[in-house]
Amino acid sequence: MDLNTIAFQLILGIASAMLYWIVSSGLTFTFGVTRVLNFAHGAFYMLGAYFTLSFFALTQNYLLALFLGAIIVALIGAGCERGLISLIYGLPVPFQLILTFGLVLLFDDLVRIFWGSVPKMMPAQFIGSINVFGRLLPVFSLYLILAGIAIALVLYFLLSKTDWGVEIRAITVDPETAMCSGLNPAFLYATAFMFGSFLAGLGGGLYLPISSASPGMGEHIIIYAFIVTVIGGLGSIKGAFVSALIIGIIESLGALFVPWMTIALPYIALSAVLLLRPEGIFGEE
Amino acid sequence: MKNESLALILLIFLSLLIPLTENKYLLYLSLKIWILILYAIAFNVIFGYSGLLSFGHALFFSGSAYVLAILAVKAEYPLPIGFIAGIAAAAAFSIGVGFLSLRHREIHFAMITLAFSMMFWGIVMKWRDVTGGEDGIAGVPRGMPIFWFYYFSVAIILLCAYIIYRFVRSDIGLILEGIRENETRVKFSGHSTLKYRLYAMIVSGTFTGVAGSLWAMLDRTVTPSISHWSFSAMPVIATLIGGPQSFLGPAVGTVIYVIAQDVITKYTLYWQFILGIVIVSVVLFFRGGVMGIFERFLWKR
Amino acid sequence: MNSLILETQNLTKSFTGFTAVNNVSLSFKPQSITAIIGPNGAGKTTFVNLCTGMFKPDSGRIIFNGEDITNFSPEKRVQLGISRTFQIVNIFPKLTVMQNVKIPLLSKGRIEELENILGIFQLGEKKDVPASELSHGDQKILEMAMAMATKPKILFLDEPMAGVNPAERSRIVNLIKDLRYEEKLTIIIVEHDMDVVFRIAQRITVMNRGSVIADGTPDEIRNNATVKEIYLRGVEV
Repeated sequence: MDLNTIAFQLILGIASAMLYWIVSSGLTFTFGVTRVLNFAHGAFYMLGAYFTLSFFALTQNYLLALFLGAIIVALIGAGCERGLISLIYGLPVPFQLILTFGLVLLFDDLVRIFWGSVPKMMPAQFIGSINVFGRLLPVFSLYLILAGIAIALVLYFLLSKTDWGVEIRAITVDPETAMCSGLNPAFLYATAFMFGSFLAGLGGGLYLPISSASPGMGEHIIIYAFIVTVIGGLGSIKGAFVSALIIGIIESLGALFVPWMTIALPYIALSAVLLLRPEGIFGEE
Repeated sequence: MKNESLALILLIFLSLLIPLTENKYLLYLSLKIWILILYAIAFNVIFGYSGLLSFGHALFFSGSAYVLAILAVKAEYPLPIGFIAGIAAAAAFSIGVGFLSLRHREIHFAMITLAFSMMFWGIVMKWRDVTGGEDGIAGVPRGMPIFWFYYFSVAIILLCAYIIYRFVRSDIGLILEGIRENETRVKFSGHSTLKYRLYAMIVSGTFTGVAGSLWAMLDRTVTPSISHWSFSAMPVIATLIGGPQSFLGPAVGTVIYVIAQDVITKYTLYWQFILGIVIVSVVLFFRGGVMGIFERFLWKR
Repeated sequence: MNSLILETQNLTKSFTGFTAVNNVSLSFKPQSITAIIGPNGAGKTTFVNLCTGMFKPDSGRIIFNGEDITNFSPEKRVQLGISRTFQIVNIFPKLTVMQNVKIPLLSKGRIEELENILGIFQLGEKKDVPASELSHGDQKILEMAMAMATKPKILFLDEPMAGVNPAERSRIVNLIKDLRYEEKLTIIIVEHDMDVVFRIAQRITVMNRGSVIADGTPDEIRNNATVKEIYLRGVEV
């Protein structure tokens, strides 16, 4: 095993980590603000992929389709929050989980109804590869890494430099005080949900150049998003970034060194964190 | 209260007559319902009585079924050994998952149970040599004709249900109820809540394993579909429909769920869509489930 | 050393932005009854939370009967004999009175004491009533019964009179006095009602902004200039 192979594999790992990051950041962000864990986050990811597909068919412009798709998903997310989830903020946790789980089933079948059950591919995009460490790296992997970093910067900017971000952080840290000081929780929760859904939709659209869209595609990603957010610390955006990287890298290096147990590696990492640092790397007790 | 037990005994009696009709379809459907009732009642020990939502009970169900199938078919051990080993495996899994997940908040519990059950699903799909991958393992023995297997299973299920009933009505059950209602007070009453939750998890997982082993023998095939998270969702939905706060709620919900699925899937492909609508409306409007509605409007004078 | 049942050494606990308990060293004699008083935000409840294991201190130690319990869980402290009630009633509202008392009894395997405890606290007639249907005063008393069910050596009462009407107040005062004699109990009480405090306490500790500013017999506290200045101002003593 030469160093070039390892370095190359590392880049691939970072690329897939960025997809995990984009989806998980939305999940952990929404949770941090609303304290509701959205099982349907994976379904929003799936919707993002399908809407991007459809908008691409209309516009023949991937970037535009990606953006429009994520916007539609964001609106659907906000609709779900206002119409359904906001009704159950005070209920015991299991009911919140089950409600959003019901949405998963609903959206899976809606996708089957509107787009059919057969997996759908987008016409190939970003064909071509570049020579890295003596190997051919698909150019899209690089775009994915750039997208992940860009989203990290945007999130940082939004949360620390805008009024909305400051209010969101205030209501996250101390909802009661925030409400007393005149913030509008309904608006903040809805926009937080909208933004989280936007990120899920974006993730789905970004997956299209890699593989096809299919009903139930959200299932794999939501489990990864769960693992990432638990490892990083539920509600911690920084944690999601770091743990997505950890998962992406151990997966890609694992494929190199211990291919027979690749599938178990994320779970082993999860178990280790649960035993050694139950609240997650950046989590608070 | 009297009417309830009377209706229950009558229903059990009626279902015992089913094998005599020699209608194979009805017999399979009925025994399937029985097994899933045990699954849902066992699941509800951790959900309704301990206030923790598990999205990974398929792990215990299919873990037990796979261990039985692997031992009985691939390793050609006698069936009773496979049966017991399957249940023991479910118990072991529940200790492992419980240990990793129970010291966390409720939300973690749902995520972690789901994650580990999907890990098992992934292993089952990939490890073809042992599990048969997507095709699963066929030819699981039953050890007796289906006619007797029906009565054998029902007897075991009733016995298990009775043990679970005694468990939730015991002092441990009371402490679990206390934890669900006010965990802090239980801690300040001198109890380790982790310990009692682990008990509940073991009881729940082990009896789910009994259901899984019976299922493997009834179906005579074990496939990854029973490892998938949608199979974990089955008792969640059945319990929600029936009502998590009553012992028989999950049983009532299971009967409704299985029969509705049997009927509805004959007419439409989009069973999940209907299920989704049912779940959302139950959570928003009927959180006590069917039993809750009964209690509110019918039985209370 | 055995003359002390509980001792805190330089106990400090900060929350974001302020220090709730600042370097508090106090010691308590067996079978004594101490009241902790002070204005809102003085750190009284946080001190109780530290002693009973609700939070871990940032620094300092807690010694109970010669054993360092600083890092023990609440349930372990209860097992050793430290019990408490809360400022806001903390019971199992949906369970019956009897079940409420049963849960703490089970942790010490003293289930045969059930009727006895219900009797002492005059809850026998209401044993099958859901706790949520009790009057507020009875809920406070039920919570004391639950705390006593674990047979504590030391009992923390966090504002037992909060929200209780005057008639029920004297019932609670009498209960506290009885408990102390009959169960050989050490009691630490946080209370705002000065009348109650001066009626039952042998010793009064005054806290302000996280620190102990005075500590002594009721008479000493009554005449302490600092205490008068910041706390008893305007209160008839």
